Amino acid sequence: MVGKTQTYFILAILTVVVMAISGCGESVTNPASSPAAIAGGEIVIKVASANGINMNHVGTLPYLAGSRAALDLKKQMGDTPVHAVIIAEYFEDKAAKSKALKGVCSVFDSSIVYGFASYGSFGQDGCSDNDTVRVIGIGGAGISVAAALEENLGAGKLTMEDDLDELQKRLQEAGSSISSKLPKTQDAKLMVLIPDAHSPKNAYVVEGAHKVLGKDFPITGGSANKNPGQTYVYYQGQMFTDSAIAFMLSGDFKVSLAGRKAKENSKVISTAGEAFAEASANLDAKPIAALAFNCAGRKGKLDNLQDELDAIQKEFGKTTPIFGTYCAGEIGPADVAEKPEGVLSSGNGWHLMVTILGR
Amino acid sequence: MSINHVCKLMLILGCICGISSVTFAEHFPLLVRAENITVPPSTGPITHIVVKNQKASSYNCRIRVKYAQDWTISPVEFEVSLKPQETRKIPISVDKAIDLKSNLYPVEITVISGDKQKVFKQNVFVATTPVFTPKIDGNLNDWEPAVPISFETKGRKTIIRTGWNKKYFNVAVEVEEDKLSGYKKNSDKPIDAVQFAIAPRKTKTPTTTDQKSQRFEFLIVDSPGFMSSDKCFQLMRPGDNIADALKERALEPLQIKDAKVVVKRKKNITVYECSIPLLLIAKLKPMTGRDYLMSFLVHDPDGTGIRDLGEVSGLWEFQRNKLAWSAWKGVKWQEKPPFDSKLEWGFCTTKY
Repeated sequence: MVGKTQTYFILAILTVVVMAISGCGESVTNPASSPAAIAGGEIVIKVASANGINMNHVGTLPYLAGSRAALDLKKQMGDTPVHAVIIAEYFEDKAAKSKALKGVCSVFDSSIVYGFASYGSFGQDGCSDNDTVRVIGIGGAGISVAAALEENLGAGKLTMEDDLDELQKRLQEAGSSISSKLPKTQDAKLMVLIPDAHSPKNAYVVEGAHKVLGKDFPITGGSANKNPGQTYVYYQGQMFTDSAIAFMLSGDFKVSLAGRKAKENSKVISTAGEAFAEASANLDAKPIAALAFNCAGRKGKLDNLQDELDAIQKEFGKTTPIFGTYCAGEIGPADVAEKPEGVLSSGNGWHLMVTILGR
Repeated sequence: MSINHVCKLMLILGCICGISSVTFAEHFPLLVRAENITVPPSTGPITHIVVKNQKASSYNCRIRVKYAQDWTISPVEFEVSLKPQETRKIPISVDKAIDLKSNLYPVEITVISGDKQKVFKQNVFVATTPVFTPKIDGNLNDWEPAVPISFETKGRKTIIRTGWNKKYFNVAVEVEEDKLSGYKKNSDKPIDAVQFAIAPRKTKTPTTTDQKSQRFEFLIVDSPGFMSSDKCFQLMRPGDNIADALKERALEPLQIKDAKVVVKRKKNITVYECSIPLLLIAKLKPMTGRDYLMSFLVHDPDGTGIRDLGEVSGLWEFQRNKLAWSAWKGVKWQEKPPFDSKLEWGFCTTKY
């Protein structure tokens, strides 16, 4: 017979084992921040990607994709201290996503690994669809990254037809809450916001952020994949649903934002080039890297994914890193006829939101 | 003047207006249709108004479009100049809208030409396919993520739902009917069935028999009997001779083994639930936001006859096309051929 104490002991051991396997149970630091940026210090931003498609088509290999992309990124970052690694992955279910995340965490310390489920991604190396991971590494003494997590947005099943007021309230509060966790120092330049809130709901999260940061503060970002069972954001190597993550990038660099909306093949292509051209023209500095939060709906309208990237590269060149992702909503300067006065960034759909960082 | 007199006067005036309106309609040169919306309207999609000039001469008019009161669309009003017999699609950007559980969205299109104007009223559906994974068991409780399309034919209800995931394209159809006549091998007897066609966007149904098909077409049926499983047949693939659509082919050789089908009776409703491998329709390049073309026929030979989704989607009479749907052994067509099998449809992520 097994005694009560032994039973509890066995249960405790099992719990630890299960939590270790699932990756849960580790506490996160929320908010978290790298050291303050040093003026004139080095800024290194690099991007890598890998796919997890098994050549024998037996199945996908998400762990391998995650670790491969991370290894490539680590190589590119060299000896530069890395403050944050943000991943955008497009795998089918929780198990595969978890493996991709673990793959990245096998190379980088999980305390600096963040990210979200997307609908694929793109960069200078091409467009990535299903079963792929793209990672961006941000490092160097010249840039500081602060990160925050907001759990339990509580808007997942609320509809605009029945619950509009409640929906607005919850998401605005979440936007304010996550923004207030991040330091808005004098050298704060850009907030990157990634909520689990499909457009048009992402607009309310940004409205909440405006209350803390001001309407003219540069904010960009994209909404996590909304496919059932795929709505994850990642914070310090752990998976969260119904949540938002945000980053504040600070330092003596410049940012230039542009947004373009389109809903048809030819316009998706032409507006992508226009957005990069506008952001480049207004940067007034040497570009370091570009963040491009693109709409999954725009992707769906393309006859050929590469056409949009070709238009981007025509304007932006083929060497400066681009971290491009397809999202369920985009945050940045709205391309609409009637813009609210004084508002730089808002939550939208059908947009490509480009931010170029430079110095 | 008594109330009776007022009523009589109103009736006479009404008749005059009515006659005037009918006379104008009879000679009205323009056909107008609002297309289905292919993703939830709240996400701000693009949709189209389609117009066709039936005249042998050019036609100029102004068109005003109105969806629900609280929607913001652009353009709201625009000029159109059409060549003789020209058909044109005008993109309408939905910038602000609210999704409705009823999935019935009223559209009012006013055509103004000179001092005449005509108002077209139509209800459009959101025809969209969200991501989810139902269990194919004849029980539709797990189809809640879908966006149902409901319509009535001769007082009998049909509800259509679609869904997809990385591996399967899923279809569920509820058919209100008195009884279910299932499929029996080598039998010519008319049977109940659900027929659906899927095609890549921008494809058109041929109008002559010397052309090739551009669609995937399936038929799902109940197959009664001990140890017998319900069936899915593939009637057409892109590249097949479209002339085959006219042949009443035996179904047995067309069965797809790797489709999952369950047909169940629940009171006076027949539930058809089917899952076909996405690889079979890979040519559609399924992805979120991707448009495609689709339609359904419900065969209820001992009840309402054929229930045609094209008919309730505002297609024009000349868009009936024998080549749009494949015949099969046991099919019972009606006097007029069904409407085209290419209604606007789309892959989306979720309705939330």
